[in-house]
Amino acid sequence: MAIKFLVVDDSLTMRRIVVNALKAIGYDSFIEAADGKEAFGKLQSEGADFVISDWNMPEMNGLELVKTIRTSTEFSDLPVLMVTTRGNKDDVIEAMQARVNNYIVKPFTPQALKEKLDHVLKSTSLVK
Amino acid sequence: MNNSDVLVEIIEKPITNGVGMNHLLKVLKDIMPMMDEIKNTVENTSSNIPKASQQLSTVSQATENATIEILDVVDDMGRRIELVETKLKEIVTDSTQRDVLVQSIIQSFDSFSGEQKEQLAVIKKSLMQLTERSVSSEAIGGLCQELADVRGLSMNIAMSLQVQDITSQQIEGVRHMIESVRTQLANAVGRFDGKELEQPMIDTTKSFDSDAKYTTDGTRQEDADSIIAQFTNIH
Repeated sequence: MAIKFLVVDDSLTMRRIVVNALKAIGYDSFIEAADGKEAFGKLQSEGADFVISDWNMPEMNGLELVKTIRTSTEFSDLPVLMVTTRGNKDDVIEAMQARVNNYIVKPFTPQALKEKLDHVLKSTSLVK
Repeated sequence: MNNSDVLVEIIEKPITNGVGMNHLLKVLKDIMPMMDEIKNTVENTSSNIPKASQQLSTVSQATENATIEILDVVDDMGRRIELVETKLKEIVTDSTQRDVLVQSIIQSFDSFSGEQKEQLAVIKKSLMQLTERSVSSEAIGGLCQELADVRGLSMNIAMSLQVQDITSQQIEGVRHMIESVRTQLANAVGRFDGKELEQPMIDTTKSFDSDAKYTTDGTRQEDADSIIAQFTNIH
């Protein structure tokens, strides 16, 4: 099954880097959003199988996006991977409590992204 | 006794005669120009802060533009590498097909006899030499591996560009810090003139992580992973 990723980051640079890394891993279906609000709108209008989101963003940040996704009826089980510069213990705990599926601290490598994706995909019904 | 000593004395001992009052007026007269000077200095200093903040913003934007340009080049490199890989594979396929064809021609020579066979032996030798010169799939495989390595290196360049996102967040943190100093200074000056409180001049809704770090030793991820592992075990 082709997995459609929603890549959310207010930095165009980071969106391109994440998409490039996903392509290098072997995925080829992506949509993008610059903040949580736009991301949730795109989820509703275009749908996605997997969300990769930054934390610090305007309008609606990544954590708020995760909470919005988890409380929605439609997307509550959607896999979400947080990719952020925030590496403090409290941040990771807060994100895990908000029920992100996994967490990557920037800067990351394609290998780290692949490992996390595989881990999340294995624990959900999505299998590449 | 200097002015501050006089002030302390006046504060501690209430003015009870004309001498004390004269002292106070003299001190105030001396202090006023100093206060004006401080006010002017603070005003001049704080008026430069928006320019400094704007310059930081320009640096951040220029770095992002340059990063996008580098990513464009890396993407273009990737496309070209893919094109060369495809062409090399086509060359191997064509070469293999040609070799098969040549071998079938050589085998067809076996049906000939006599003088023709001798002439064909010469042609056969030439054809064999031609086959030996054909592109070896091993050599092409080696080239493809080199290209894959170059692709990996270009990916490393792209991944290193995460530094732009991280430094831009650090710069945004500095901008907010100096804007906070400017607002406080402006408010301090405003009290002299009875002005209203200053509002921040930069976009305060922009979200950033002022503690963002560019470290590649993996320790921050390991720390995060140990917390994630605890959650995974609990839930």
